[in-house]
Amino acid sequence: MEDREIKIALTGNPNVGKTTLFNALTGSRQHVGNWPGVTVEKKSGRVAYKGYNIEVIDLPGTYSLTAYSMDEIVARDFIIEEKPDIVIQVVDASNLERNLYLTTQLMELGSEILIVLNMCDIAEDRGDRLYIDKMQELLATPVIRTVATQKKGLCDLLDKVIEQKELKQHHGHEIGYGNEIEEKILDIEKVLIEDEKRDKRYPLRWVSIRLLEGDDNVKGKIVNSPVYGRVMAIIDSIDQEEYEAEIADKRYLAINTIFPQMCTRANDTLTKSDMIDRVLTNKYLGIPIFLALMWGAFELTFAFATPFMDMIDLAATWASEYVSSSIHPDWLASLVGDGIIGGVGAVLVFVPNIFILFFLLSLLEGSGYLARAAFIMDKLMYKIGMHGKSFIPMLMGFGCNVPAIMAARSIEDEKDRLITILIVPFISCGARLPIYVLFAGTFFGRQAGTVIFAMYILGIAIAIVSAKILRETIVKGKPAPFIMELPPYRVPTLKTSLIHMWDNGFMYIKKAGTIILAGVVVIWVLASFPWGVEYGSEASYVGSIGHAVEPLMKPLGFDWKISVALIFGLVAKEIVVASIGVLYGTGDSSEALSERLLADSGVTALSSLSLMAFSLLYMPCVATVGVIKKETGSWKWTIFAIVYGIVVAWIIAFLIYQGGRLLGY
Amino acid sequence: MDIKRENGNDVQDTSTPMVFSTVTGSLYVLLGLLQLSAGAIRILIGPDVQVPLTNLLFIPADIIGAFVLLLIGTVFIYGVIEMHSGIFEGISYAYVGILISLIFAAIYMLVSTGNMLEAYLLKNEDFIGWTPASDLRPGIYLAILPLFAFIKWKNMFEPINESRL
Amino acid sequence: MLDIQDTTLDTLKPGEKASITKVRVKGSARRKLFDMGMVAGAEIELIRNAPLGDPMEYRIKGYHLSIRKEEARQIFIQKL
Repeated sequence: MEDREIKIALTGNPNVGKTTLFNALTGSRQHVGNWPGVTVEKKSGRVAYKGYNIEVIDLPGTYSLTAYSMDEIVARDFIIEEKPDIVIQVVDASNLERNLYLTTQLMELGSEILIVLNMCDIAEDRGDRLYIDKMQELLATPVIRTVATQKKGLCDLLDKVIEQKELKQHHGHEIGYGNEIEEKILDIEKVLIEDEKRDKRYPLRWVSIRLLEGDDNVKGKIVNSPVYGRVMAIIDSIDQEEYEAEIADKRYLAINTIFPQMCTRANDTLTKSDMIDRVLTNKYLGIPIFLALMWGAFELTFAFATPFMDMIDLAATWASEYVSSSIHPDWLASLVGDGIIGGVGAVLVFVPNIFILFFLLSLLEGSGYLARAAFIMDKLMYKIGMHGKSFIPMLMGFGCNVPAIMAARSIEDEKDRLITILIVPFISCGARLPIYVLFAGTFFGRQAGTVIFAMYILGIAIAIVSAKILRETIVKGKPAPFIMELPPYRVPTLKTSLIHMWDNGFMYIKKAGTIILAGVVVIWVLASFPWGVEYGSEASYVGSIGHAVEPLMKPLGFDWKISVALIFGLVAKEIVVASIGVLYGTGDSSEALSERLLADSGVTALSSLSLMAFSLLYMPCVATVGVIKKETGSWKWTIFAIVYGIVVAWIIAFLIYQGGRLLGY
Repeated sequence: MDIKRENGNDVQDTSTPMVFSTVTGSLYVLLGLLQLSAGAIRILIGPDVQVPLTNLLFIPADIIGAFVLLLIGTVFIYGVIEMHSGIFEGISYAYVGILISLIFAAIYMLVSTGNMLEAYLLKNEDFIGWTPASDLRPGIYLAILPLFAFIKWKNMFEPINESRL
Repeated sequence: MLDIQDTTLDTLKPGEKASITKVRVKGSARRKLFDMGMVAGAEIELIRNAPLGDPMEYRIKGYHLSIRKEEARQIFIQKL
């Protein structure tokens, strides 16, 4: 029964409760993926209602449908090309004017619109009055007010969707842009219509208006058309910036003429949100409060996660031992036990961090504080060529680079996001600390604390310098302009945060997991073959590689043993210490290892300093590489991150070791 | 207790939040300073020297925690100063101070729950001898005052919901 | 000297209101500003600066918008 299928798209400005509506509609029947070719998240779900099978697609939250961001292009292309039966726009009743701006654009796309008026209670609490009947009449679209009782609001909405689908009558809405612009629109339309092979899904009027506004994405869509030259001639004849301003003016003017009839605005009063903002962005208290809250988030992400990580670790160890003793032949036992289960353990051990991190990020975002964090830190970040939104991912990096890189998702601008992802691996994560503790403790005695602190500073410095270099060379350009809504503070809904946590945590396991697993198996093969040698010993392939790269590592002060340990460190950096323990034959005892290291003339205070710097900066661990691949969606940038890290690490270690030798250490 | 002196719903009257903020703010600042000195002495001199009262008041030698206590105290006091000079909006600081102190108490208790799992479930050797009292700290027990205020002025803290759907 | 047309948005003090006369920002920021309601005739009020002095928090069209001084300097206003 073909007719019983309905496809609806959800649109709306960010922070209007669109995701909450989507979750309420689809419950757990959701599918999260990416839009083809871009890293914008695509969410879809299904509802069965009164014999209809309704597909709901959650479009990215946007303020407009110009080509400012990938989100906007994705949203409008979907509406035009996939032609959903109904486009539901979720509108924040307490912020009608700006929300209706998107409505005017949806109307131009010729879509069947249904408006869901959310947060009416907030508007009415502060004394606004909303006239919904008038609104329906003026906008010529159905307007549904969401009501307090959960079920009823949803049923009203779905009833209306079905009603509108069955009516099949199209409301025409148009905004007039004044004689001069209208003439040009008509001129372009006349030329465009001559092209018989044009994509007929795109409304002519819409294409014309977008071209007058200088939309490069739309320009790209007609570039192969035979009439392209004539269209461009018209566009070149106008003052395009003026037109752009004029068109936006006219849209807001259209809203302003109808707005006073739909809503009367109360005088501004001190809202709870204003009260909170007054303190949290206070000139003196704002930054300390921000730092304290970040520290709290950090504690929860890492300290609260520890017992859960330990449990996973214990389970993996137990499984690995169980497999080793019960599977034959030996090589298979070793592959499954040391390789695969060890590898899966390495993936799963981060899961508690990632789940908690995404839960907290969702809370921060839903409460409106994430926008303030960017607002507070932007000046500092701008000075180093980055955007305010890059701060939180970088800070998270001190705990673990994996969730830090995933947190970079909140940055909309592709370039800003890429730079953040590329420099986060230089931030010294928790896993690198054991390396510092061993070597600084062994060779620097009472100065150990200072040396370790210096490593953290080195990481930050390299990250900042790298950001600057990247800005000057391959990721050219200034940070994106900071034009951001500071949404009112709200209590985030638990359901939304939990769903957000689950979706992202699960994506990590699925996608990054496969790459990590592959990496771990490769290392296992290198350490175990030729078959029969002791795992990771001099005779194994990894031992041979250690010897092979020794000439390269010699100028840094490393022998083959350290080189092998560093190769193992690719799985997870804390393994470096354990591997050195194995290679020096001291096992887990760190005191014995310290003594052995002091006795070994091959390792000196200077080479240990060089080693610490190298471990900090060289190729990120497999898990980090996995998420870099996943988040950038590109092998090119993943390989760049690896190579760049190794090169920087080599240079810095070289400078430390050779510089130190020149100075006579 | 000062909070009980609240009478009437005159919004322009800030005397009750002022008294509450003064008392709570001073306590946070005081214990923050004690904790700061305990932490500083631990780093500068070593674990042998004890700041008086630290055992009695469950004050850990934790400088970051001290910073948090001082910060919460300062937020309350800042509000008192504004309210005292007749700015009604100063009440915002009492409001946010209550929220932040409760948030941090929650964070401390969650971390403590994690420790409890380590000690009792995983029997981690780093946590031998751990009892729930080991994690008791001013950041937790001082939050009883703001919690009291939170309940007392509940209507003021009614959530601004993300959606009424 | 003090031509009204030369007053820019970054000169607004906290609590002051103005009406936008012209947006001279170029590039993609220009369209974004329009989308966010920064059109000629719109009323705008500075709420506060960020703790480090930049960016600024404005109230426009009934919501809070934050932009950097760099962009504010290219937006012309008439103080109310």
